[in-house]
Amino acid sequence: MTTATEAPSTRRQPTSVDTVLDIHDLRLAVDHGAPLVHGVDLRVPAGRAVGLVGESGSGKTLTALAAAGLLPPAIHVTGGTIAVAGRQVRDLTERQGRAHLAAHVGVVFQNPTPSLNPRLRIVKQLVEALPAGTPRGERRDRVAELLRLVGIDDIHKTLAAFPHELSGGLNQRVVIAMALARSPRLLIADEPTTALDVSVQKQVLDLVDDLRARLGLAVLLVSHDIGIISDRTDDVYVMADGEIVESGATAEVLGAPRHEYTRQLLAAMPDRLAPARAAANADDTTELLRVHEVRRSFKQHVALKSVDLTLHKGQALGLVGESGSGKTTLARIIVGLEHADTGTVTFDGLPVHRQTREQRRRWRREVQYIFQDPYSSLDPRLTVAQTLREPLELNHVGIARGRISGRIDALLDEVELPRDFRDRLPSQLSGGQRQRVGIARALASEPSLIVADEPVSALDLSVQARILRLLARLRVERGLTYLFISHDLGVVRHLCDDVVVLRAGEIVERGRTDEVLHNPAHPYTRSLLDAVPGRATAPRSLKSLKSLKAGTPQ
Amino acid sequence: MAVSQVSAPPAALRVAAGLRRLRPPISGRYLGGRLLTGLIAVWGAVTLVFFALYSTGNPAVLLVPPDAPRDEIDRLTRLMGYDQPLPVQYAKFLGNVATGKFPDSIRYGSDPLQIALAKVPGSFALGVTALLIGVVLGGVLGYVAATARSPVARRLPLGFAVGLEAIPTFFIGILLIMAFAVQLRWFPATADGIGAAGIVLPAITLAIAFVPVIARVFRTALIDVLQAEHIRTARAKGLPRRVIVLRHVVANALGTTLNVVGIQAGVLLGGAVVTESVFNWPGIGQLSINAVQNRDYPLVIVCVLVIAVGFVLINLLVDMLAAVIEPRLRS
Amino acid sequence: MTVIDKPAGTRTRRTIGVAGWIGAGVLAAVVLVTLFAPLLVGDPLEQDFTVILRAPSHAHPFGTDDLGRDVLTRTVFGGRTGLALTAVAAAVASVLGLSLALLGALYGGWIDGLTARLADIQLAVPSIVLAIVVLSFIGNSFVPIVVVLVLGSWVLTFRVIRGHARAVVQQQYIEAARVAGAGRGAIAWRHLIPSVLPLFFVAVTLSAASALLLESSLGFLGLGVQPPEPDWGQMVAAGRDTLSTSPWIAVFPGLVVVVTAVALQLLGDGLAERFVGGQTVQRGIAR
Repeated sequence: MTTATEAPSTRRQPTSVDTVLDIHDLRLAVDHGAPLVHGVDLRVPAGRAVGLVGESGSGKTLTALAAAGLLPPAIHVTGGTIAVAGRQVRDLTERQGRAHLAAHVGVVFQNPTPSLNPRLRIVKQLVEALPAGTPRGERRDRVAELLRLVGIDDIHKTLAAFPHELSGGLNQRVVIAMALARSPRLLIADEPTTALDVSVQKQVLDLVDDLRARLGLAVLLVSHDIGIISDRTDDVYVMADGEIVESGATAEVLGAPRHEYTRQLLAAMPDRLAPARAAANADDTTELLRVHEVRRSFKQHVALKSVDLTLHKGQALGLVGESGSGKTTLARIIVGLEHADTGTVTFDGLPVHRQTREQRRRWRREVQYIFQDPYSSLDPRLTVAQTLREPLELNHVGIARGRISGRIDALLDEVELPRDFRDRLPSQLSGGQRQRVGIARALASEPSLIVADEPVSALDLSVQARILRLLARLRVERGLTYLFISHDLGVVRHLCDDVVVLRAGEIVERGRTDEVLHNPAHPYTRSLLDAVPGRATAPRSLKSLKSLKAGTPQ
Repeated sequence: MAVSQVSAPPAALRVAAGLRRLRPPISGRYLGGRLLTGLIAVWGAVTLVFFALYSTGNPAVLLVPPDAPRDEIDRLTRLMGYDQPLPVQYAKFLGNVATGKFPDSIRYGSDPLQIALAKVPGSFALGVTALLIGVVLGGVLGYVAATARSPVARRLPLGFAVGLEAIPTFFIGILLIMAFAVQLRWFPATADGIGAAGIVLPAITLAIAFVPVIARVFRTALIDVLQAEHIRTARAKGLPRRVIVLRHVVANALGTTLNVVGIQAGVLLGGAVVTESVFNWPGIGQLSINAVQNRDYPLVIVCVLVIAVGFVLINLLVDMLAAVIEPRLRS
Repeated sequence: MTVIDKPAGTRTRRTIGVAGWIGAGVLAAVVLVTLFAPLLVGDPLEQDFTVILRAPSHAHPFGTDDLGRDVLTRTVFGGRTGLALTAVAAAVASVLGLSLALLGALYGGWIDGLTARLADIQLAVPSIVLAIVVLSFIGNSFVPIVVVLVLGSWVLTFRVIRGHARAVVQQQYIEAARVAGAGRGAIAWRHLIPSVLPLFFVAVTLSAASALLLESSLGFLGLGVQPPEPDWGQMVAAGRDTLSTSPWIAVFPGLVVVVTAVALQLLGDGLAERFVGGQTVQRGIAR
């Protein structure tokens, strides 16, 4: 309670009449298990955007679902109250409660396409969402109006389509239209753009902002992304381990955080990580890898149209692009997981296809890959030691059998994992620990080039920062060359000297990271940069960063 | 992605339909593909029969009565081309199948195709009745197993289904005869024709042959759908429970169920042959088993081919139904 | 993508459970009794016209048939050929199914397409109809019957293993293994086979149940083991016409089939629980 009352000093309408959502001392628990959320207080005033930010497992999504009355069957409210539009949900019968929440709360979910029924046309799902008493004759007009409201142009085509025929961004607009169908007073958006590309992300968030202004909606925006929260909300609640640790006006909380956790969270933002500096051999201009006029297409879809790329020894090159830009395909071709239709990959001066068996083996060994998903990239049946043993035995590293065990220990040391993790199974490791094992596996082959495909995008911010630091350190220590794929420009800025922007299978811009990110030449790069959340508030956050550094010596 | 592929309806229709632009539920390409697969299946069955026949040496020996004179065998050998090279024989065999020309049934002395086709209505009646019983029973069991609140009520139907699966169809028939024909005398043990009383026991027997499959698949599909994210969206709309269950859960589980059950159609057909045999039900299955026992090979061939065609038609029907229910299959 | 960084739970140790052990025990009993039939009972073909169609009694616990033969003796012997057929067929069918599934998963492309198509074709031919063609034209000796049983049950293993193997092959750790220098052989040996092995054992018991039911159905239809040699399905058929007067002739051999099939299923479910973590295995038993 304390945090909620002391926070909104800047609130424009402090009277409780205008509080659309008032959560008091909310407690949630699994059926017979441990409590998940212990005593959350949260208020969303009319017309305001309130952010709820936290890392995975903090209980932020459960809190939001509880407010919408959509908790999974195994999780129960064990204490506290939720008032929506002035009525305590607890005082209503189940049926009344459902009707009341449906009338006043619209919900937008993380994954747009799975949130729609695959078997029904959009029109039917929208009609279903209209208030119960809508006359038959008016339904179609109402539905078309809703789509217009969320900025969909081709209304007839969209209405007749099935969800699988539409893009994710379009489906998210449909979901928003559905949430607005009963003219709710509160919109709860749970990670509404996490599954979308940055540029689409921006459009969807702009839409939510616009709707809030036009319809006077209250918005509860749940996100792990501090950039989004700082751009889009008036008030913010920071949540960790089932509790609100800090709350208040967004600018104040993020500008001058009082709680240690908030500070850590802010410090872990990729934008705020000090640029990792280069390895000693970064100025070496010896060419390590060259990609020349590589093309690749899958059936009708052209993934890469004639891409050229050069990597020098010790260089860290960022490869940036949205989904479908072909960046993963290019990375896989470089490692040899995929072949090019035409064009050549040259490793250490010799085209791969003209190399001898022995040379090609060296290429395979010296070019290693770090995978995006720390979960599916480890065999669940193999212990950490068995996983690390595989490249040591198979990749012709030249280690005597008897010394493999010692080598495994050394690799674990290198990625900062305790040696007694040797006998652990992946299921006994956290995501960050798994990703460290994945890095150790790549290092086992004694590579010179590491291709990392979004290696931190599946991780929480704080874990992400630690893994990035590890990668930066390894680069210096081992003199590694990096090809680093990311959709996150902040991550690239932190780690890479140079950057290449890929769009629809073509390189549209390349150059030094600083130059490209500060002074983009290509309109596409500019639009990518504009779409990055947290940028609109950049001066403020930069200022606050300075004040943070000045005020809190660490 | 399929939006652009689907051919546009005629302009008049487009105007009339207004908002709800009509698209054919099944595209011609989808139907064509399925039809082609079916034809290949029939061709496979024909080829199998041919080679089985051929592997016996001179098929003509099998295709005439055992007491037929030597020159009758020679006549048939020449007529069917069994003295000619294999490819020619094969071509002739295909031709005969296509035109429906087969040697006379040994036992009945007449065109085996007429005899076999006369038995189709019996099998059809039995199959449809059994399907209705099986779908209702299997559906209820699967639904309870997926949605019941108490763990006992969830496990019991499944255990029952698994138990049924361990009983061979012929023995289910025997047990039903003993209980309802011998002990209770409610229904006749064997049918003298296609009748309401006579169909009850065979239909239940055949239904039980596929109740476990339907129950299990439907249960799995329901559980999958219940966990799907779009169910949460439906809940957020404040829809009544009944609407969520029918329109969003059950309807979405039907597609998958139908598909798996369609794949199992071969099992059902085998069950039908056994069931007809147990109850002497006048259908194509019983005819074919009798033909085997009587060594009436021309009739065996025709029966197998008629069953194969029927099977292909069933599959085609299932595929079309599945495409209507499950829009993602159409693309 | 979701934001993940929570340590997952640890592995819990599972057993095949009470039901699994009961299944294993009953199955062992059936197999042993059948194996040592000559030591346990008399001659199944011995006719005694003084005791025709006798109800179960102390002298004849399962009664006698229309030729005065002891039904218990014939039931004990009735499993000899049938179980041998079942065992051989189940072994061949599961190894065939496993091999084709692994080949398809490892090589993908047209090999995967071909094996999948083969399975489709197989499913499109009802086992009983296939049996009619093969057994009536080629004859019903041991090998053709095994062929029919194998054709009728290999798809079961194939589909179960293929589904799993394809999912495994799409996991990133398989690609990681390739980057770590593993060829197809190493991938199969280190990752794929250990992953499908538990499922394979489950599939073997299910194939056996399927083959047993199909074998008894063939016997019932007169397509399987021929008289006078006893066979469970064939004995049920023989007792079919005297159900109202002497039901024991058909009931006892039929019950033994059911008991054996239930035992196999319990064992299979137990194995699935133990090794595959209670994951339901799609069954589809040919009859």
